[in-house]
Amino acid sequence: MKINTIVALRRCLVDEFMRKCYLIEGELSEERIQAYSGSEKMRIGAKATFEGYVREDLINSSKVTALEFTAHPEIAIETAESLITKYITNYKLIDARIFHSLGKVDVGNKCFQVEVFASHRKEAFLALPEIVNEFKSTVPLFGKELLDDNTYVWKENKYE
Amino acid sequence: MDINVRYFGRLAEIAGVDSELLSIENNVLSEALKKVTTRKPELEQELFAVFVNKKKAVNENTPLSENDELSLMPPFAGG
Repeated sequence: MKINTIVALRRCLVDEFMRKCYLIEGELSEERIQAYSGSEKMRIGAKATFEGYVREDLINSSKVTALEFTAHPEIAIETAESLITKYITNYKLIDARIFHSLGKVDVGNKCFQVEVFASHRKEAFLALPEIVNEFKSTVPLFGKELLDDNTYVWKENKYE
Repeated sequence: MDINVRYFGRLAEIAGVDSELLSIENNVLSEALKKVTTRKPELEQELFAVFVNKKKAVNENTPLSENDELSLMPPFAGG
């Protein structure tokens, strides 16, 4: 094996190990979100989790049946990883992870999960809503609300 | 020189394509954006963020180089 290949392979493995944001095709089932196995697991005293689901909204008397997400995956992951690093530093968190769906997710299914790991509940409770809100306004993901009359509406959060 | 323009979300529908090659002469972001909106005037009404080579552009004077990737993104809707 050439040196360059070994270096690239090693970088790839390190990147995978260090990853904190995951974009997953389809709904976020428990099997798709693996249990946390970070090296600092024994220092964790508190874990706070936010779960976002696809809601059966009514839009102009049509029912939402699913959300369809698209993204520029590299920009989305890089933005989310920077966000997590910032909150780990600011709140002295032990770790944090974000999972988000891509593609179609039917109503009632989970499409977004944020996990915050801290020594104590105070930091976990404080950091969680801020990460969730900042993710929604800064990470480039785009959602289409698919309706039961076979039309759709683009979902929009506002720029802040 | 040519740059690659990528459209996301609703903007891809308005542009009618997910991506396209655009020829510019003055190698600056403002020129590329003007060409984009000249080709599709409806885009001028849209609010969007601009990324150059995966980094958010801070102003329209950002210089561009051959084969740069310009990503145009509507307001985000994750979560």
